[in-house]
Amino acid sequence: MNGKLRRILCAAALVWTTFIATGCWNRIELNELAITSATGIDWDGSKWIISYQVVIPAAISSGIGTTGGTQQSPIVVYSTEGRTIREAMMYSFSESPRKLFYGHNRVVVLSEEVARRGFEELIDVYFRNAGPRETVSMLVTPGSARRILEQFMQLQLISGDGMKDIVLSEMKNASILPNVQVYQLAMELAGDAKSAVLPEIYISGSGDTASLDSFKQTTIPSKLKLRRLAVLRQGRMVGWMNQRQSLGVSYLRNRVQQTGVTVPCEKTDGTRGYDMIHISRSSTKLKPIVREGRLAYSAEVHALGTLTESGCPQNLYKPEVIRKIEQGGELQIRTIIQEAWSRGQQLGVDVFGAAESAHRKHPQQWKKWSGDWNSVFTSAALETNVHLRIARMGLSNKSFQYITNQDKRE
Amino acid sequence: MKPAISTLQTVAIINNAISPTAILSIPPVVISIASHDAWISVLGAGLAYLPMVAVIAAICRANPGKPFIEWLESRFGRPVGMLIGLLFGVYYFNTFCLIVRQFANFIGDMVLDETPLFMLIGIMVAVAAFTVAHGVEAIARSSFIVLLMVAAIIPFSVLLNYSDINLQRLLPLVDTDLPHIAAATVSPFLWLTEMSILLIFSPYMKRPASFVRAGMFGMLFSLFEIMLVVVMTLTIFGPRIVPMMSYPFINMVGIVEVGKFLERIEIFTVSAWGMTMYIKMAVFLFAAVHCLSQTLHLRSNRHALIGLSVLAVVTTLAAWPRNVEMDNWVLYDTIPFLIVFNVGLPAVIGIGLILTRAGNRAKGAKTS
Repeated sequence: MNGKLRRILCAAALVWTTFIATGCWNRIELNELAITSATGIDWDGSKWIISYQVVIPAAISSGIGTTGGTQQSPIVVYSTEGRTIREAMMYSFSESPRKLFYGHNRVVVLSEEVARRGFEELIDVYFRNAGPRETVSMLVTPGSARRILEQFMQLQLISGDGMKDIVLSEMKNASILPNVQVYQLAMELAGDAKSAVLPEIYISGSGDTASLDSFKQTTIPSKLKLRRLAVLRQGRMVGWMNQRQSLGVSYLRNRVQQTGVTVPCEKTDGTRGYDMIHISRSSTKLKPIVREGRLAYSAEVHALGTLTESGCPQNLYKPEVIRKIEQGGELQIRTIIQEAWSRGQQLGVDVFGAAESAHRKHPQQWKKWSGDWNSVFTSAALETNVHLRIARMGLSNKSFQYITNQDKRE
Repeated sequence: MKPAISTLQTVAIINNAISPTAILSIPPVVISIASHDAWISVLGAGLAYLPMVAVIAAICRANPGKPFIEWLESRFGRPVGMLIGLLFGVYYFNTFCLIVRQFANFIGDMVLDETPLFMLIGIMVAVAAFTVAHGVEAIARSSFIVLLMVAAIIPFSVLLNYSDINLQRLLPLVDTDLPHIAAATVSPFLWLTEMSILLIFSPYMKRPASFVRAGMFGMLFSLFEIMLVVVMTLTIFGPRIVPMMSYPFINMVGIVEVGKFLERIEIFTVSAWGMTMYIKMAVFLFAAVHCLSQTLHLRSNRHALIGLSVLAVVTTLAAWPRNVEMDNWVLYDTIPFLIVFNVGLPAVIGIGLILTRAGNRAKGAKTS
């Protein structure tokens, strides 16, 4: 074979490979995919009901509601059933012209029934398959998960995306509820305490916002809202914590990014007013202590804040007045933390990372405690020390009520 | 034979002969045995392997610059040289098949699940064979470029996962009992034994004086990479869920989310890591071809390369009908395999060199 012919054959072989190796057998076009933005998981007693919120790309580009453009819904929701989660997903091919693509799935909503039944199968599906992502956020709803997926949201075209944004924004600015991703949930449930938490999403208001007609008015009939904290033990939901208790969990888990604390104060006429402190930084150290052979905990909270509202006549030039507000804030935080701890003990669930810290600090005793951690935890006392510093007073010092009531004092 | 590769390139070859599959396979194995003390096991394996680096380097130093099998024949006689050559040839060929299958399984699991295995394996073997056909210099240069790329990527990987890292997950120290920590050293130790590839590449080195340095740095950089992945995996996921992950290294990158603009970056990691896998394949295929053609005194390597490549495609496809069989092979069956070829055989060669030293000196004196 002469050199020229050889070169031609090599070039032809290379050109041929560009045809056969273009993604091989996995080639798929964008218009063959159904992009899933949220997934709902329900359980009917014997079968899984999996609901998919699928994005309609053509509708997104033109906007919805009264702003012009199309009246077509930007999302479509449908469900399939199966004895296993993947079996239900397989049946989606019977009704969808496109293949479901989970790479952009933002949230997974579990019905309370599923959460109380347990959902280890779902976690297995997420870790076993390459399509779904372990970073998807998980939520629990008291009713049907499918109904949550059907709701439209103000300001966000795709409610799956909107739900994730609410969770992230709430976590960043209020820190009451955490953003729990699938891998974090798996870590918590497999951890020393075998317990975890999930935020609740529910429909507030009357009726549904499942039709575009709702957006012809300034007020929509119902909204998707975050509320309580679902508590799980050994993979099953055992109860709820209210928002105060949930904030207490955030303090104890050292997950407070920004939040607020409302401090009662006394008005001139003796009625109760409130000051508001915006907590811009907080850190908590939960330390296990062994006293006379019994396990106890101490929580040391250091918080830094700004006074954002003064509801009483206060001369905020005076350090002693500030110190008094700080002490009031410290008392509030301490109460919130104690309420959360008591609720955790009442439910028999350690969602505070107490088991991990006991294991790290007292590895020898842990071998004994781990056998019956539940009873060890439920009898452990918590001592809370809060150090709150109001570093900034905002753009004014004396409160407006102090100025208006000055005459009365004089 | 003309010396062609620098010390740094040799470091890169050794590193790429160990790390690519090690960072994939070691974390779930060591963490499932030693829990959060797995990093101690990896460190222990590195320390335990250090004397072997000196042994391998000493054997390399005894070689006056001849191709490895040719030198063994001249030293121990043709039958012994041929036997060792065949044994090494079989070892490198089997390891090459194992690497190809691991990589093909990974690509099938992660990205190309509908693409038939023969297609993935065929392309991988073809790329490795193409690299080997261009000789040791091409492998060395590619290897060095890939090493530089890996060194540049490591700080970014740590930075992107920084917020997920919790060093407290490594505590309490030495919580796992010592037998378990010791048992967990086996897997990383065996992977480090692949440093013995230096025996094949050392005659091509420009500076024979730096065998120890090349071996040591190649092994230490690999140890560092394995350690980093084990520590990061532990501090991000904790010890409990890692054993259920097939590729925790990829899960680790998969959770990176920087705002909404940097997500799902594992595909970049897979691309970069894939390059290291191709180098590893090329290194082992080169070693297999080298041993076979030297043993059989073939004039050209090309026929051996084509023959072994075709055989590798068939072997890789047929040897493990199920992925779990390959996983079991990696976990358990490789233990005697690697010990015999990477520790036992070099030790036997070392002993043989000591025993024949006097005779060799006399022969040298006679010829002079």
